[in-house]
Amino acid sequence: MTSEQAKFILQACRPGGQDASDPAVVEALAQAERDAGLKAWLGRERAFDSEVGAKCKQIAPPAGLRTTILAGARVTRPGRSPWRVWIGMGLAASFALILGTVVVARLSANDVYLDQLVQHGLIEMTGPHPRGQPLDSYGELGVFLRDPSRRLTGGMPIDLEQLRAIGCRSLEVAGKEVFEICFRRDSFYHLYIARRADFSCRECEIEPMFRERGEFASVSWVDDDHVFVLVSRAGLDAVKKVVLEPSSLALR
Amino acid sequence: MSNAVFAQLVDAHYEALYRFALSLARREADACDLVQQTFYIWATKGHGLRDAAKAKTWLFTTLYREFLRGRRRDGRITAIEDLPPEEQDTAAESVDHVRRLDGVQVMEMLQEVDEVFRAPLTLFYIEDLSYQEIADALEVPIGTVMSRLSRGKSQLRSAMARRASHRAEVVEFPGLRKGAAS
Repeated sequence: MTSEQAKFILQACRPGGQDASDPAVVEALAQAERDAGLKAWLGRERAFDSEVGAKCKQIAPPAGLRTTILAGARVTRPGRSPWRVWIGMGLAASFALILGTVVVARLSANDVYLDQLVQHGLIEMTGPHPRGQPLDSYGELGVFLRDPSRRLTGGMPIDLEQLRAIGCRSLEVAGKEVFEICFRRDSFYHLYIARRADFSCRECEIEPMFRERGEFASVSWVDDDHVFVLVSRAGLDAVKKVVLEPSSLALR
Repeated sequence: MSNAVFAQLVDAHYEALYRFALSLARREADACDLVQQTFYIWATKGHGLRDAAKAKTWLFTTLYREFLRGRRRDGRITAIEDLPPEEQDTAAESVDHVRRLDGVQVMEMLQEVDEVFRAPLTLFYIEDLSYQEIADALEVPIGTVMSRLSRGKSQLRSAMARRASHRAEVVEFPGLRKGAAS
């Protein structure tokens, strides 16, 4: 081994000595013992690397990152095809980051939070999925959803038993049944509906909570019996118009 | 994978992953997203990995792939052939330069290094992975890792030297500060 070859190897060795047993490193170190110039270089290189490494370790993740990671990972969906999971990861993770910091402190082992439903809504939105029932088959609800003058927080006629009977597409979010209805007004919207009793909500989530990430906007809200999540690519303003009464809209 | 085991995995690696992500993405929020995304992928598919010893490399690989996916969308990948020539060797003053910096400043210097060198260089300084593991994580040959480390360090030293010379040019004289004369 020449000194140049040894140098090439030694500059890739961690300064903490973790690679000292690597055969190539052992040989390179032996070469450094024979070459005073190489040895001096190695001393400077290690000093430099040690300093940089120590400074890098001063960088601490933001408070709450660990807990949001753990919270985000709680959302899993057995049987989902991997590529769809992959597509939705960024969005789910991003939302978990935004929301998780607040949520995690309140998570208990059995709680399923509305945030998780939001994340699933985003994941579903990012990938293709089976065509749902035609809006006409939802009767009064279908008419309501199609009508651009109706706001979703304004007395949407929901009957989960009927949705089940119609064959509305259902998902399972952390073991809880969630119905999905896709409808179009000025743009496409995905509406997720579940039983209020199945999801825990923070006080702030009683009122419609809007989120925006990348090309997606979402809103979640609750009433006495149900929780709702609406996701769309139409943008936050469009989502607000679909959900909020004009009087409420003016206040936001 | 149980929650406890998953939490152990997170505890073991999330800080190093965050540092790696921060050097790549440059912004705290994006770095957090990348780390979060990496563990989310693990939670949904990575736990199928039979060899637990490979979890660390898997996590770094996944984070890097996710970063590159985002980069491809942005169309901002540095092509190898566009890379500048190798720069300076280690000088004694390089150590002094880095001693004068804090962690955030060193990270900023790392972020100035070309992306193709920055990834192995940050992994190297995090010290969680050997050069062979860095090669595995980045899915490049070992020789390529060594070469990129060499050039990356050169760029890092140059960035630090530039910063040091810039600071030398703007030394303030306390007596000339605003208000000091009045």
